[in-house]
Amino acid sequence: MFEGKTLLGVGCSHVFAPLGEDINPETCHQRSWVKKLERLGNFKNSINLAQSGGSNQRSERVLMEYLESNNYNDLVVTFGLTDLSRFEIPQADKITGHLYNMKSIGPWCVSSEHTSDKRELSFMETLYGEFHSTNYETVMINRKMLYLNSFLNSLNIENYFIELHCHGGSIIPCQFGINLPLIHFKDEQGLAINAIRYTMIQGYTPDHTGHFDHDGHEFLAKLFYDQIKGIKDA
Amino acid sequence: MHKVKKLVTLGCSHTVGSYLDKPGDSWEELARCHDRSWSRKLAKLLDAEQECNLAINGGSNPRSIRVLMEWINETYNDKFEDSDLLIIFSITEPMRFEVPVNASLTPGIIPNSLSLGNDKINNEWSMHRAGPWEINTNRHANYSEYIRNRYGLFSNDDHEYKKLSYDLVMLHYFLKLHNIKHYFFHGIDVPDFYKPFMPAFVKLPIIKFTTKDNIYFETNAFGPGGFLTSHGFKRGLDIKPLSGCAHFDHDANQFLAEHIYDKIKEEL
Repeated sequence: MFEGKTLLGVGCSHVFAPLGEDINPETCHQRSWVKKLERLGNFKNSINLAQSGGSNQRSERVLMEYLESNNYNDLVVTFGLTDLSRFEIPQADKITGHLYNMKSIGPWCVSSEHTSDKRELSFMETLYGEFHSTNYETVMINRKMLYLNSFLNSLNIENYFIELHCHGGSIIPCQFGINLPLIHFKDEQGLAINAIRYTMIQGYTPDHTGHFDHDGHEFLAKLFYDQIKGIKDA
Repeated sequence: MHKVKKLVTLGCSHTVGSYLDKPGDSWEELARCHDRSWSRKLAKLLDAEQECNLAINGGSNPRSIRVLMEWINETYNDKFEDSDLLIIFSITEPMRFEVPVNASLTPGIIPNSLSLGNDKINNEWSMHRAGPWEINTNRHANYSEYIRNRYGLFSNDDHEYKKLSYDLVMLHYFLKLHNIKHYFFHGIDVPDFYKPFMPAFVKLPIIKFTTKDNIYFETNAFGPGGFLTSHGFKRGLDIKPLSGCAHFDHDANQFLAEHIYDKIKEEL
């Protein structure tokens, strides 16, 4: 279906595919549904830009950075949507002072295990405790997906958005008359669930870190392949 | 020139039309400022039938994008097509942002009397306009600390510029896809922040300002503030309260509107 094309995956750990103690990018990529979807779809190759703890904000940034410096003519993008409450922040480089690194932030940061900096901890507690609205995050992610779809379509880059680790049903499939190429799932009662939950319901059990093995990723890849085929046929 | 029937403008107090006394946020007070704004004057030059000035004092770029999308949703619902629509986005200070505030959790940050319809996201949450000026305000103890920590620990100009550049690129392509005429300009003193972060293949429709000696601002000056002062207009010094924004009067806004009109009329 995708001969000669390159598959690019962005998202969180459920795209990066760690398992147990294995966080090696190469072995994780071999395990990931991205690599398995590459084979199923007959892609030329695949690139995995995901990161454990990654936010949707990070996914957008690394995708843009990739497009800025790489040929995108034969690219197919799969955007694995993760927990909407995650984001990333710039943190000053302690050596240079003026450069910065991006730090992935999520609700897990409201814990002294993750920082010894009392101000940082206080900031996270206040942010998640008092100035965080899921309603607002949902509005913003819908807008973002709509924009990204418009942008990628304008560059003739085939793109798919997967409700992977966000709340199922977060994304409105049709906005302003545009049908988003959305890969989404429902449980037996017809309630929207994300791909991870769907996979668990089908009998695949994640390890103690919450991630799937080869078989789980193979199942995910097949799921995504079937829905992509359906979207393309439509 | 294709007739523009609807003009939508976005930005901060410089688009609202604020001058001298900083107005409150009631629609009535904003409406009084709108008469002075470049937005109203541009609508007259275009002979537009409808002008929607969605700007607000202290408005951020994320807010502008949010309220624009809400306006589009309310106005067009599922069929966003309008060849008579023109959108002009005045880019404001990139360090500003929006904070969701729940009045029952943190009372006092947004007084009810100042909460505008399009800054409420539901019955509980409203979007508060945050910027560097709030580092030293004391609306609510937790909020003040939150703002100080955000700017103190996790703020970086390059990062904010990059994020804003991407947001504008995305908005541009969304509007382009729908064949909506649109332009951006620097509405506050942030010159060409996007250049280092703009993908080479992207050409944003940006209205350039030049000083009186015809030098592009990207080389030696800033947004309409520098543009207008180089043409002899004086900034008003806001005194109640002292905002330091230094807004412009009717004549300066008229001059700005005419300049924008001259720049875009050939392309309409």
